[in-house]
Amino acid sequence: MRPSLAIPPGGSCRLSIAGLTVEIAAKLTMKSDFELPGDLASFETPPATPDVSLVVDSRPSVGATTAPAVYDSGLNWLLREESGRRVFESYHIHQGLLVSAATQDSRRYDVLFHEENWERIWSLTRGDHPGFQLPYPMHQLVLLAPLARESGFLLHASGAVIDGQAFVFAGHSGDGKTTLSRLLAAEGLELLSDERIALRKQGHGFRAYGTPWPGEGEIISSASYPLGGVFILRKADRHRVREGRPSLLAAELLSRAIVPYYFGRETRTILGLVHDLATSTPLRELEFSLSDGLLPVLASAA
Amino acid sequence: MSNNEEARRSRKTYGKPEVRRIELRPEESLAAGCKTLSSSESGQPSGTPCTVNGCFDIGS
Repeated sequence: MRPSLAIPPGGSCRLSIAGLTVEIAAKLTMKSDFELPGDLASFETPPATPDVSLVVDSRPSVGATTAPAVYDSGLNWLLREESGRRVFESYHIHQGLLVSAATQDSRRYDVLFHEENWERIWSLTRGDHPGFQLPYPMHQLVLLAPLARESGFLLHASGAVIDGQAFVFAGHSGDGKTTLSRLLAAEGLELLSDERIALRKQGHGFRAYGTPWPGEGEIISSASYPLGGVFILRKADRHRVREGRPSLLAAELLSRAIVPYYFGRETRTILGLVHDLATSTPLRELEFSLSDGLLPVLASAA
Repeated sequence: MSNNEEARRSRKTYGKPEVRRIELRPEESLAAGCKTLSSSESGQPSGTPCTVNGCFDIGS
């Protein structure tokens, strides 16, 4: 995907993601542009006081911190903690450290790219992409703590709008989020996402936000609506809404949330939010098939 | 209907405690996995960990 937002050295932009204002500023000393995937263009927002800032820079070489890893994903990133400072580090399996994002308070991240490793990767792969981009899933990792601070969290879910309310369908990979989204799109519903929904507590209820992180259906939306209900997705041979036991459904919901378990405070916040959601919002199971007639079933449950 | 009878009827039936196992996928709960947005672009199938080839898509 070609980037449509490129921030030159000395430039900045602001995005609104899940209601948070995210400011991204590239330092003048940065070797080339900082690029954002095209998905993020529709999330641009006018100047406002940022909830979280990413200050991006690059150096010919960046050394990994020596602090012990608090969490190692076993894939391409790990988290270190040193003197109260949290440092996310993203690695390439062959070239090593690509970028680090360090923060004291989760309000400002200092993002530092390793120029030599970065350029080596692009010369090995395409050779036509000199700009810096945050490797997956760094965009999401740096937002988890700020989102929790504002009473929110990310959920593996698709989302659609019925009568001005958002209905969210939580599912693990393979549970049918994208398939369901296609069925709902065919029914003419507005979609918020086919993969990732942000939920934030507002008053006694919650609000659901589309996100820039799509699934295979590539559904992206910066829209948000009051949350009308949450369903746990089940593939079946017919459409049916089931009530289920609230405590079990709450546990099922939690297992589909993205929780930074390596951060105690944020984890406690999200556990509380899941509890609040389960006690304030209809939480049910949705069995669905590939047949027609899904909308009437949902509309009657809405 | 007396109040006692009403209360008895509204009382929940006793259910024996039981253990239910809820599937927790660490790679999803911790956003550790990488499912590329465009498999044709990166040359990887969806769900491939980002470390294999260096995928920079923002996909899920």
